[in-house]
Amino acid sequence: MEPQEDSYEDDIIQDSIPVHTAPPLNNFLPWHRVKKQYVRQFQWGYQTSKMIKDSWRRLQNPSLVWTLDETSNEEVQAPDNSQTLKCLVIPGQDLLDIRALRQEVGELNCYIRYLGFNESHGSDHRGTRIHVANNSVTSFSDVSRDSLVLHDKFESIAKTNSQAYRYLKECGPYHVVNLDFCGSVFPNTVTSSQEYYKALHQLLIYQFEHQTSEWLLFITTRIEPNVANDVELQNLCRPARANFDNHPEFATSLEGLIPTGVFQVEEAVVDIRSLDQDQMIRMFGVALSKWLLTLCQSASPKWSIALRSFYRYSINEDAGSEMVSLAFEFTRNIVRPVDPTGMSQLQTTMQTFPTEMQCAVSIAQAISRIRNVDQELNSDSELKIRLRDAQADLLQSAGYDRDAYIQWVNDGETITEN
Amino acid sequence: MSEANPSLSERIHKSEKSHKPVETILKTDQKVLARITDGIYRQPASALRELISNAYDADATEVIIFTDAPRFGYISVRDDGHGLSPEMLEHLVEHIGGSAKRSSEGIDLGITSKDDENLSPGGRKLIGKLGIGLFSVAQFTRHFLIITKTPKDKFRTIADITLGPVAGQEKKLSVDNRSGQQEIQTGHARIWRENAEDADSHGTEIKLLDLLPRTRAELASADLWAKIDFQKEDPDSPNIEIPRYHIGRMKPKQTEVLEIQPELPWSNDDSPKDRFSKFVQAVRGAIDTSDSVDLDILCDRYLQTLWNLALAAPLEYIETHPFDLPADKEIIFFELENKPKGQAKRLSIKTGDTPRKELRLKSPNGAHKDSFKVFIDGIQLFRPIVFKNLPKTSTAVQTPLLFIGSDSQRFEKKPIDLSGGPLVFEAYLFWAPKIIPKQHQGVILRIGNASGSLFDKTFMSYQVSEQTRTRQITAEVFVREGLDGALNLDRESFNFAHPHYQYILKWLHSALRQLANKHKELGKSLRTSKVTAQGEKVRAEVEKKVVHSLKLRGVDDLPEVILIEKEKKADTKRLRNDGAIVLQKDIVVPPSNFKNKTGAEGERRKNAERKAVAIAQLLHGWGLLENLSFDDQEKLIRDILEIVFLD
Repeated sequence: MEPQEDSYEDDIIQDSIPVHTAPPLNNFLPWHRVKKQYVRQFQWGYQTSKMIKDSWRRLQNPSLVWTLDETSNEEVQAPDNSQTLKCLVIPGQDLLDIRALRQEVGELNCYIRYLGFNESHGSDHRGTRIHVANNSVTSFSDVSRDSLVLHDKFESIAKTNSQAYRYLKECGPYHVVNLDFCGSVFPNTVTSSQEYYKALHQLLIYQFEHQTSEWLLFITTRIEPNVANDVELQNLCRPARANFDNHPEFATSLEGLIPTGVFQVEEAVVDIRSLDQDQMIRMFGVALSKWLLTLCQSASPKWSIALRSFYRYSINEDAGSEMVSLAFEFTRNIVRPVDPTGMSQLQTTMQTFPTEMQCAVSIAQAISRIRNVDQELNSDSELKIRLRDAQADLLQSAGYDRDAYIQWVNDGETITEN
Repeated sequence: MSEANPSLSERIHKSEKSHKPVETILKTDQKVLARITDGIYRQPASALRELISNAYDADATEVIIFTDAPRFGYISVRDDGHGLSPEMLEHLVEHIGGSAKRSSEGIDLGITSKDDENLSPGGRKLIGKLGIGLFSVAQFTRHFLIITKTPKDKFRTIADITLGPVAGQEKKLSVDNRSGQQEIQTGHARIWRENAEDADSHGTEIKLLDLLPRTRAELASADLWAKIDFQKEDPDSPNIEIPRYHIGRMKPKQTEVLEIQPELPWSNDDSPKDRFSKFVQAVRGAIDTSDSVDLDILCDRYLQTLWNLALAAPLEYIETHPFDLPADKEIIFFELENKPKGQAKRLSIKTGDTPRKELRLKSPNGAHKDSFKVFIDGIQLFRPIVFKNLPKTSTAVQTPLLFIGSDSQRFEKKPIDLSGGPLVFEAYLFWAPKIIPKQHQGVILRIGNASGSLFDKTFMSYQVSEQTRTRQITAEVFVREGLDGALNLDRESFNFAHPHYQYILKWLHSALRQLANKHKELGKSLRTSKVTAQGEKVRAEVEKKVVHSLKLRGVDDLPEVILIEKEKKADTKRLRNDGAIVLQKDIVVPPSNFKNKTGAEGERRKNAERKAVAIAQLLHGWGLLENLSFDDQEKLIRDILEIVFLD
């Protein structure tokens, strides 16, 4: 779609003759790698199904409360009525994330309705793939037919007068927000990450105003220490530094993760330059989580946040860069009124929510449990085959040549086209 | 087809394994192309209407349309109908602009019912023409996708189609050997099949990509916003107001942000049905601030498009089908007579019954047998015609009138080639003091419960000068059999010369006359009773006043006053002897003062007589009549009365 221009002919005649290119169905891309399936299945799928089951458990037993601790993922009786799971996603051209998610939550009697943002969603071959994939995914009986993929980038929601923000409001509030960024949320000198933070802030404002139940936020981004933007990274680290300075408990929880000396400098918030690759990844995890926690605690009512899991994996073709995937769960701090006089005689349970400090410590603990996806896959060849086959099924469902995919994985997952 | 020369559908099937798309060119004959490219459709919305018709004909129960308004980056129309098999797609691509519906070819392809080529496989009366409907998207774009799947098929078929010139290829002409018609390459298609895990799902989605700039401009009300911009620059230009309801406006030269946010009569929290209900309520409610409601002023083009699609599609009424309105005091029902000079008769329907039951009417409410739902951008469309809770006016007839009729003409005495076959229809004409919005004034002809045209406010060229009354009528004709042949290719206009059209025209004009007669009759009688009621009220007040005045004077016993007719003058003496005050009516209340024989004049005379009696009673109570002769009594009272009645 071309923007409106000033000349007469632009309102009458298009710039070019439409060209169609059928999308190739045996050309595999970075998000087709087995490690991505690992993230889909063990982080996104698992955390979503666990959040749903936890909410049922609390519904059936009101004395259970939301907790920062890892809960069990035992089976639980599903409610009779199916529930709509509203998702906001940045999908790839095959909507593999949604395909995988529906497999996970389909067994939980959930019905998915999603809003996707993908700016390459035009009339080129990538756009065609998304159109076809959207048709295919919404043909499943457990996915709403009016699910949408908008031709916008996610960052556009930062502007309240944008079409993206209009649809954010139209389709929300969301139970699952999966932001698998093409660009980088890691502050860097190559591209600006400012727009992402604006959009994340706007998302939280919207969700905090409209969502009443727990919700998940998955953030996947590239980390490039070689091109770190020092000024922005310092800003992002401010909430973590404040915690470090004021709460010894938090400082203790960071021991072994990040050298505490990096916080004990006067001239900067954090001495970033002294961090190695692993420490930088953990630092970014702490900083981003603490930034989100600051927003949660500044809202009214407050929200609690738990970092449910933290994954890292390498990007084969780009040495020095790594990907991280963080899974956050949010809950609103709504406290029921209590009658201290005993006049009402009504039996109520006293509710408490984690403090800012408790959330921060819990984040540090979650960072320490970081999972290295590459290592997991390299040490378990059976798991790799299982995930390869699961992804092959998803790709076949998306119209791809299954055999060609398995061959591609076995040949080392080389990317031939971006 | 031989293996060496496989058909298009065979090649499409092969793409299941090869994962390689099939390339083909689109062909159509020159005549059809000329008619299509001449621009047979008046508005881009016509293409949406045709795609909805195609979905209906494919036995869909649901159509979901996404327009990306006000940006209109792309438009998607998706149904859950039977879908298109590669064979159907082959037919479509190779005969684009034609239609296999209503033909034996349609039966072979599974597009139409096995028993009746005029019905869908599910038994719906067909309302569209597949190839033509699909070609109508040329109004929107030269590039579109068809994503389609038939039930049980383990693959979905995708066709990426471009119309018009193809990059790098010259127009190719060939001659069809069978018809001798020149065929023209009208586009290019790339078709392939993809594995489908959802084997049970079915339906077709048309994605309109690369929308033409003028189409986008039209859908986005660009002309309206341009006028408003111009007004800002030139204060002397005519005053154009932003419509009360609109979908907003994109910032010029931007595809991301809106310059003007939407103003819609519903909120995000409303259900799809509530959204449309609120839209209808808002349109009806606009009468509170103006004398009539004009959609052109109230809404932008986008909302008008929603409204017009809601009128056209075979949908349920937002409230009640007029044939299912319950008998109560809110509407008076009439049955129309099928004679050129017929007279409508009032229907007495038992409480709880409906005209449908009383007159055995068959026109369905909404789709045939099953439901058919259309959603556009999260709004569920319904037929926006309502018959209850209408605004009050000062006209004599306040209660709406519903005239219902039906006709079934077999034309058995005429050759079928000339008559066009049987014609069966039902219809209603609804009279109300105000028709809201004014775009609903007129008649709409529905074939198979759908319509391509909007209301014809001329009522099929009704020549009788009935300007006020025809603005108070909304009418629908539900054609159950016939008239199809009178539809022009655009499916928006009719061939006026067709016998079915002419027959309905005559029937409608007779119905209008019958309505006018009843309306006039009712108005007259209502006016008379209103005047009578007013007169009675005046007379009762006069009596009350006299009683009160005399009581204050201590007179409790009201004297009897008789106004005697000329011919009964002989009784005067006897009555006076009985103690009555007798006055000659023609002297006290001269007939010359009351010229017309209308109900109002009659009431005026009755009032004058009652006032004469009252004056006599008062004068008598005050003892002022006693010293006057009978003649003088009559003259005095007459003079006082004339003063009372002076304007």
